Amino acid sequence: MLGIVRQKMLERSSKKIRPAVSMLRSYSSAAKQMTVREALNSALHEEMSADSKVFLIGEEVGEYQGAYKITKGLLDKYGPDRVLDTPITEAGFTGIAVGAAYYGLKPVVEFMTFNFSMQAIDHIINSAAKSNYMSAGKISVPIVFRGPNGAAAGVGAQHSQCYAAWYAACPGLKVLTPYNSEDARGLLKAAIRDPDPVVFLENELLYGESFPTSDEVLDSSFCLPIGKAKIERKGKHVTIAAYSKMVGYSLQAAEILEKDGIDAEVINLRSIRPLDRSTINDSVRKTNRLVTVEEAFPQHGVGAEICACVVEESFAYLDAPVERIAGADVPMPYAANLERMALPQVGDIVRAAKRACYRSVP
Amino acid sequence: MSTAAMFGAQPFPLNPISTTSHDIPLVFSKHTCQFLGLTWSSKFNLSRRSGTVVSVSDEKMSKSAPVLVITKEEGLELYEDMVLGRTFENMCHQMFSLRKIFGFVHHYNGQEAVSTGFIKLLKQQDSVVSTYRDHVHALSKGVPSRAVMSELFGKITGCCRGRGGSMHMFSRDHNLLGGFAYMGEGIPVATGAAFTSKYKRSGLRSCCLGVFWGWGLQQCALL
Repeated sequence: MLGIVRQKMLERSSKKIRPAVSMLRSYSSAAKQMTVREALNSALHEEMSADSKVFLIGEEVGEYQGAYKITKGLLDKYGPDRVLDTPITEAGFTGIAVGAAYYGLKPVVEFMTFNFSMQAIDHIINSAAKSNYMSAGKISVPIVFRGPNGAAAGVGAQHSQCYAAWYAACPGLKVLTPYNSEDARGLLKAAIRDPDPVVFLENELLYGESFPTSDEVLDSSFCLPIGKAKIERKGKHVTIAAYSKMVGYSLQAAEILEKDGIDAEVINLRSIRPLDRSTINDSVRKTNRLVTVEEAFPQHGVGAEICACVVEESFAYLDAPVERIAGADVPMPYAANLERMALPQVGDIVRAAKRACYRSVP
Repeated sequence: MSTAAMFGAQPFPLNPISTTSHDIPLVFSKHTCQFLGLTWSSKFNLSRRSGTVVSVSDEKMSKSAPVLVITKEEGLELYEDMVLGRTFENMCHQMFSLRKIFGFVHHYNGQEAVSTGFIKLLKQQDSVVSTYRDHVHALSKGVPSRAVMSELFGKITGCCRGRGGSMHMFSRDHNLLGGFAYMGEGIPVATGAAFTSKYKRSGLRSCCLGVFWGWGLQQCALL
């Protein structure tokens, strides 16, 4: 009921010209502002208190309160048996966590960034993702791999890659990409409760961003379904599908496009694997134009997969070629100006949407 | 082929007895510095040096005429390198505080003797594989300090044209093979570079020095 009221208010409010995205979110006076960091922290607190089999393992998760303070307060509350600080050996502690999951526990493994998960990728793919299938369903691996993913600021090539497409290619894994606090809380809770391995890709630059959260979201039983995208902004001229930080950029782009008379529909994918093909296709069948936005490398990316699924299911509905916005096809450069050019900016999304609407020459 | 591990605590002769049959004994020419490798400009006449180097403790025990580990001029060269490293890192810290350098910066203050002591033993064709804490390794290996600082500022005049940044210093000319962000990442890489030397059976013995510590060992233990 609250959801329907919220949608109608969003539709009404989206018709007005707005100078900033934050105005779009101030629809409920009861909404509490919560940062993504607080949302993740509260989700971990609640899931750990609800189920004693849940434990945390990773570098700096305990004494240091988390490299990005996501696990603040958990060591004090649950003790060193359930919040394990590890040495710097991703392959080691990931393997240990997977073994624990085989035997019935529910580990939440933190990678300081997902770039370091490459040290442990054998365990994520071969030990965790494939085990349920290889054992004909006998071994379940209720593990969550979480941590910041994608580019930060000036951290160079080896600290800036987005791994959504890599992990989403693997059957046996679920891949989630929260954007705001509601996503962070709901999806992390769902991930911890899920009986299968889940790769939970956060974003370092979103940790400090604050979003309004309703009482429903703050409730300890709140959970979002895995595999369902959310339409953040309804529109009728072009669909913009994005995940993680790019959802924020897409919403900003939609505001700019509105001034030019283009009403963009913004989809927050939330779940990269399983991909919500039906929401994406329903939206494209309505708007007939699609722009995909991601921060990652373009080849074999999430945008490529979305384009393929739309071509497979809704080809006759497309009025224009699918526009794909992605990061530049280079390792992330260090220099600030090059880094800016290597990542999608709001202007790139605006231009792509205009191209899709044939409002500009490419 | 020698590795850094061979130069342990015991006094080492500069023409070490090889323990493997594949090694070609190192031959220093008369005018080559017997302590410092060719990564620095050898402008001193070293012909008056004695052949064997002994450690300081041995010198104290022997009570014979003291044999210097290094000459005063060599000492000044080493000192200059260490002071350069320290001054450079202090400036980095200042620039980082002023937000002119961004991202990750890992300082090498206090460890200059390690960089100078090991890298100044090497020759031009020897390679160094470093970690994210690589500014001073680059300096000791001979990469101009201007190029390293420009790299930290993300300028095109940097040693990697602004693409690498603090943690990824590379130089083909000086055989600096990086600059790696992950713990222990460079260990197999350094081993591979040393393998190339052995594979090529080059007339000149060459050496690859992999620099790592602490946590890097743990990562490698599992690999």
